Amino acid sequence: MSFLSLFIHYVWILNALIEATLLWLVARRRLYQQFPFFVLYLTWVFSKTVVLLAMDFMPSFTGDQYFYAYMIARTGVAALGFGVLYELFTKTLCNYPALRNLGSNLLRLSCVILLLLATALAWLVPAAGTGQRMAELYLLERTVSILQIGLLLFLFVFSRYLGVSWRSRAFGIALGFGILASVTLATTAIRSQVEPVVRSGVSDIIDLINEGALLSCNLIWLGYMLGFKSTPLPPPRLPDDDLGPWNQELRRLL
Amino acid sequence: MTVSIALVICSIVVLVLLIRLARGQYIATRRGENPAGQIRSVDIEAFRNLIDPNEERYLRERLPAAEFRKIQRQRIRTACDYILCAAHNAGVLLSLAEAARHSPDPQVAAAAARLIDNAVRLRLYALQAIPKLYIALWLPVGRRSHVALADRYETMVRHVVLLGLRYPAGTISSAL
Repeated sequence: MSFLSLFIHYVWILNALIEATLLWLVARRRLYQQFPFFVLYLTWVFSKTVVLLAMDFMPSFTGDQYFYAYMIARTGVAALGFGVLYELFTKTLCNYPALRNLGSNLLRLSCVILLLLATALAWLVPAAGTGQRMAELYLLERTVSILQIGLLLFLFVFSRYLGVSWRSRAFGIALGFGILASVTLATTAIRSQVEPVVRSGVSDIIDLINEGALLSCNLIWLGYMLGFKSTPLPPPRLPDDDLGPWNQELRRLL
Repeated sequence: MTVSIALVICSIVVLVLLIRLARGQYIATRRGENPAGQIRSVDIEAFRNLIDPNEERYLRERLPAAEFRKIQRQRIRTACDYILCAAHNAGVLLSLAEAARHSPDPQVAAAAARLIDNAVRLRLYALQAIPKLYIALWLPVGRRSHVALADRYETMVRHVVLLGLRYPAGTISSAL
């Protein structure tokens, strides 16, 4: 095992430990009531890490078995990722009755546009590279990442324009998710084009980037779950009274 | 490969954007700015005059066509400025009302909720109105009255005053 490969395994194990801590923390703080999809997502990611790590270390598992396990794991991550996005969307806009209908209509519209864009890209730039099976899987991941980043950006831009306030935990989840999705997009875009049959130095570097992104994302989530509570902002301290406009309003009412 | 490189660049841009957004959120949480100082003055009567269809008809009937078009463009541009200011003020009031929404006094919380709803609707309206007005600059189609926006702004100011009766809103309603 090369030094780089060994280092990737260390980061992988570290990720599993942080994910376990995160799960313990969300269970202790009963966050599954607030963010059920996110907790499901975390559980799935933790199980994926443990299972794939075990399969990687056990020589009795074949490459094919690992591939299918990886495929199932990534499908679950993608599906639950959309669930997390939906949850973020509803949590952010639920306090604004004026936005409920428009928000969900715009979300559907952006979903359709992004799906068309991602499908067109998949059709125009299909998988290449000698490791065709893995390259095709990365192409699918690239399509999912485009959709997820697009939806997340839409949510950020939409809420920023309207001045919608983010609950700090929801913001932390979205931030971590966005970082992970953007790194995944970059790495899958490369891997879908240059994936070799046998692992090379490039594959190791890309794996390290992916694991590093997952590590930073886990640390962001841990930070937001530990430190930041959704406490309301203190009232602004403003001087002077407001008697003039009050009188005006009273005159208008009387 | 070109598309892949473009996607990598896009993802780096998104990453930078997210980090900047997180930094902005962190600074905004720490910095307690005076909302009254951020309010831009909006003369609602002047705005009503700018968007009044009767006023437009009056000008069209009395001015030569070329001069009317020139004046009308200026009026539309000014109306856009007013709408931008109103939308900006709505954004400032949103942050004030967000803090008031968590008040233990249910009446304050209810007044804040009403103000938030109004401010959000005004910003949405502004989002739709500005492109329409810009189209109206060059094409005579799609010209319609934006009286609803002026009404909504006045309702919002009223909600600020009502909220100020129970909450330290300071000089904000006089600034509006």
